[in-house]
Amino acid sequence: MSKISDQEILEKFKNPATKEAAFSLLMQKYQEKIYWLIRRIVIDHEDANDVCQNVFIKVWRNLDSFKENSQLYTWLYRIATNESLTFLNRKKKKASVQISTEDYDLTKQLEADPYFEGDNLQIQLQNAIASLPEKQRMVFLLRYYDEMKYEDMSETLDTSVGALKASYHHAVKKIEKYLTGL
Amino acid sequence: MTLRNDISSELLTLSPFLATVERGNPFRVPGGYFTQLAQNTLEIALEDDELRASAPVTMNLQTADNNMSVPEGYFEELFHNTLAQLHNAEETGVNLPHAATPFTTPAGYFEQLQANMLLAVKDTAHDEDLNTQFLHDAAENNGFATPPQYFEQLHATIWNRLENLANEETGCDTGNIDHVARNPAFAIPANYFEELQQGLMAAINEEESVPQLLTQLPVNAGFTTPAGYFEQLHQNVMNAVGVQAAATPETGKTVPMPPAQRQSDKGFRYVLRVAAVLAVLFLGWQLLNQVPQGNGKQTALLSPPSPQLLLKMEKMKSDLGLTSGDLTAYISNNAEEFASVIDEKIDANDIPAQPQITKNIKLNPEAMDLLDISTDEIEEFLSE
Repeated sequence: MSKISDQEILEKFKNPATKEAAFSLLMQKYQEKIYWLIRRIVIDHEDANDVCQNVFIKVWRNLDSFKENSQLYTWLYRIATNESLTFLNRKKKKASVQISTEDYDLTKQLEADPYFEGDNLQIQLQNAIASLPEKQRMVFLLRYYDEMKYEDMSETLDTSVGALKASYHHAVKKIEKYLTGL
Repeated sequence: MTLRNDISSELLTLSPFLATVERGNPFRVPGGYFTQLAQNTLEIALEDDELRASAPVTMNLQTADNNMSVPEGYFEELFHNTLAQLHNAEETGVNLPHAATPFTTPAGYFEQLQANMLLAVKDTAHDEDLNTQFLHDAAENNGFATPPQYFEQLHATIWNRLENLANEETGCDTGNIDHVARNPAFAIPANYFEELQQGLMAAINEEESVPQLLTQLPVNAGFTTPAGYFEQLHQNVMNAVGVQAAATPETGKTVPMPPAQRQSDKGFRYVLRVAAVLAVLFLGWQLLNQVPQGNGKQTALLSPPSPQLLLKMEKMKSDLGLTSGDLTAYISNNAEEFASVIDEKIDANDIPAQPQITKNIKLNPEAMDLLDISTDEIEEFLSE
């Protein structure tokens, strides 16, 4: 099912007769990867669903203008990370206006989430990831969970490979310290 | 596969601990979510397209945040800028724009506000009184009623009932019971209880004044003795019983001690002192070397007395016929002295250089009492 190439999808998408079919193929190929990336960033399923739909609507609107000098999947990842971070920043602003005194407690949120089945170590790992600076968090998620190459990550995050390696190094060390220091 | 291996070995190098953590996905999605996601998203995208085609201006307004902009940092500084403007207006006396306060009040509203509020509160209180009056009435008139003068006559009624009951049971006339109960035979003076406290205090003060009077009396209280009476009293008594006062009372047979034996007595006391000091050293060493069971912490480590010293001490003990109980009793009666002896005899050389000396010193409470040494004093001593 996912053996169709990105090139074929793009060609079909350019044809109005096969545009919707191409989009369906694109979604079937990438929806899970994009969803899980978003979910690991925003944590909550409903939030991830909203962000995921926004990502693919943006793809629908802008795929025509996609320049093929980069890979389709890094372009999708770029949109997904940007949308997720934008969503989180908006959420933080809302939270700081509405409930400024109550701290955001990820542990409680995960424990109450019916769509989270991790044990205590997994909860603490998510806490550790959430405590990272934005850039390090993105690098760690893409490398640790999505097993992305630094070169592809460089396209996605628009950062040099050296800087990405340093960010990953710092992220891993911080997470280890967080987990072993519990 | 190579990429996965590279990432795994990289992680293993950076953090062996994190490499052992299972990289599974703890997140879940509702059942059938991904099968419908594409269709749902496509529907939304198509609706969006239709809207854009039918109302391009309105749809562009939805993304107005891209079309309109504010200077950089505008919202961050908005509060401070507004506050600064207000302060400036206050300082310069410039009236703020009327539009800032679009609401108005009737003339004299604030001047009359306090008086109006008081009136409103009084009216409210009056209304509340009216509203709650029925509760008081209901409490007093709870629906039940008693005959007129019921409570006033209740006491007499009960006594009459009792008299009648007694008459029925005994056949006797008990009419005087009521009289006795109402007129007890004992009586107290008028205002007795009112004046009781004052009377008691007066009595107490009177009693306390008696010893003071006695102390003011002369020591001989008016009586005298003949001159030299007390000096001669003993002799007079002895004469009266026929015994010479100067004679030494016969208490037993006295045996003079030869000089050699007196010298031995002096030596005995000396040896006893030495033995006691050695015993104190031994006892002190034993007390300070108590090791608590189980927790593995050694409390205090002092070097034990040499075997020669112990043998010598034991020999002295046996030569002098002293028991351990004798020594313990002697030590307990001279605890302060022995504590100071221990302080003098134990010097820094007795303490080994090992780091086992801890501040967690726990001596036997009896030993602590015996030596009158606190834990802090021992810690201070060991630290020195």
